[in-house]
Amino acid sequence: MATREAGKKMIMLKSPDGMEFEVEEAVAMESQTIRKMIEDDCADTAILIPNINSKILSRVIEYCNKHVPTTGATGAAASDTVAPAALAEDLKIWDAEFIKVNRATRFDLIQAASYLNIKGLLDLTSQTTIDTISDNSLEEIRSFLSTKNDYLPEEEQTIRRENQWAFQ
Amino acid sequence: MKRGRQEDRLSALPDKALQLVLSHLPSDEAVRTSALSRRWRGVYAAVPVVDLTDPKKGTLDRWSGGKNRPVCFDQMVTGAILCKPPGTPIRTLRLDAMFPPQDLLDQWIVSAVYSGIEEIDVKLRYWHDPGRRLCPFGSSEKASADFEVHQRNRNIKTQPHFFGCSTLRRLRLTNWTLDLTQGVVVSSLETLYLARIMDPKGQLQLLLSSCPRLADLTLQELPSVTEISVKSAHLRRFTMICCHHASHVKLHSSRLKSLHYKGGIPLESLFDVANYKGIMALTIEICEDLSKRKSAEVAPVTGLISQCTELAHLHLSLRPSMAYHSSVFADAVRGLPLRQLGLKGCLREGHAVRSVAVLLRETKNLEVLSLLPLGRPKKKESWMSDGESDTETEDDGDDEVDRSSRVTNSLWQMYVRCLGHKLKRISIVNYKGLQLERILAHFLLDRGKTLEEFSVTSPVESSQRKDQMAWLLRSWRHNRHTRVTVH
Repeated sequence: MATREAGKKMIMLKSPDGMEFEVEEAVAMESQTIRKMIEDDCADTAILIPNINSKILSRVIEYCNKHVPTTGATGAAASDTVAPAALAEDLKIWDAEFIKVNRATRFDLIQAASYLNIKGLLDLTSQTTIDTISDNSLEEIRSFLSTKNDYLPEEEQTIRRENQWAFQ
Repeated sequence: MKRGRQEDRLSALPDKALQLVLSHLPSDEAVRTSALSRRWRGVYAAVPVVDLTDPKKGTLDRWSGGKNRPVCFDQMVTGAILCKPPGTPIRTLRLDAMFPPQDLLDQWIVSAVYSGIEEIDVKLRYWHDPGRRLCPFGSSEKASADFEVHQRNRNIKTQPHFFGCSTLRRLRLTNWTLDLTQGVVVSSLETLYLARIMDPKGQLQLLLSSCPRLADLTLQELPSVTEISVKSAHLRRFTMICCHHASHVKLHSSRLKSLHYKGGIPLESLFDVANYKGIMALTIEICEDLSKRKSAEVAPVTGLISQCTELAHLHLSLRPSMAYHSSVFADAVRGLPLRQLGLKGCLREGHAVRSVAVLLRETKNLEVLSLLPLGRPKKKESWMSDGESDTETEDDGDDEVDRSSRVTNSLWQMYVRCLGHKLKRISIVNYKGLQLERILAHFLLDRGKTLEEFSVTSPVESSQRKDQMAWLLRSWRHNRHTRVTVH
């Protein structure tokens, strides 16, 4: 259902909980997954985005909306995607504000960014996650991520020996 | 936050996402995640990044540095490169190394280059070089724009593979000696950052001329830069920091969007830009003290600003104080479609507050204002070596003199149009709540009818004081809907 509005091509995105979002094609194409669908002509009707609820999807669209103008909507190569310093600074402030969400939402965003393949958003969400786990011991990271250590002690020993340089 | 019953959301992500998360970690930390759980066992291996920083710092740990650490830096880098399974490329090589053995360094780079490298960022450090900023206006007595005589050309020569690699897109080199004797083919290079590079043969221009796809160029502390010309038609962003010998810079690209200059007052003819109208963002940092200059002498700076007739973002860093010579800068910005303005500088004299307001009167379309007030500049002291930071926030004691009445009278009579009509966001970084900072914040909040957000970052650690700051700032709001935050 690609329509035209004020000369801009619009795309309809649908979340599994039934919400519909009309966005500019250029904004939707911030997602490499959607870009591929559009380029392969699989996107003549509304695009259903599985696994991403409307709350997260609307945040993802908010992110893409903010980031689209500096990336250049022409689909040009990376050489054309350099944000000017001052613009980049402005975006950084905006990003910092955008990512002030609770952990569950952040993981939802990582998941969404990963599925939709939006590099900037994936970088932003991963960076924030890394900041909270970096410089911690394995035990602390496990506890932070609620990861259960399912190794046998001898298995863990083997792993440490394989890359001893990292486990000093 | 309750921990125990939470599910492990991160581990549930697909491998590709986890690898991206890990690519932001230093390599040793990324590898250590393999011991978290079975889920994480092999994730690190496919992360196409080698990123390590040598913990050795300076002369003090020269001999003891290796003793406390069971694994030395050289072994770590080699380990990180070797642990990539066959078929996993190294796309990014990021190293910060203290005088590594040259044969090993060569091997690391060659391995990465043959593995499809896209980004190289290698910063070298040396025992013989304290890392002084190459700026004649620095605060130490040794301040100079060039390397010290005994250091010259002692840096490690650049690896020929840097300039003969067809996959490389981003190259960042710090503290090398440029050596292009084996030729240059860098047709894929898009981003080039060169800092503190010795160039005894004057080959920089040859390198720049050999990068036809260059989009982002940064030249920092390069004494060899005098006249350069950048022909790449793709250049979008150009940054020149403390290249104090530069006399003429010609930028042929009509796509240039962002220009950043840091240095003394430039020569009138320093920049020769093909398309001034294309410049959207301009950052100018003047590192020399302007109090010794008449306002007419600032003309090369103001001239550059007013030539960029479509300018949307302007950042100015002046000394001795914020928005110094503001009347001439106000003339320069009049009529420009500026939406964002950033000002950095000392805010220790009453006139500085007024200068900011004088400048704001002319930026009628401003939507975002960022301020970075600094402490008083350091006095020259012979024993001090100024490192790479130049924020110069010394002491602050408290405000000895009460300047409020003198500032207030002239300030509050001013009409600043953008505050009542367009300005949506103000941020102040390094806000200590000193008297003049308070006066300026009060003025901005009181006049900010359209203000949506007023965010402050403060170095003050006590959360109680931050709460007090926030309370005071809120009480000054004209617009009840302005969101005030103090971090």
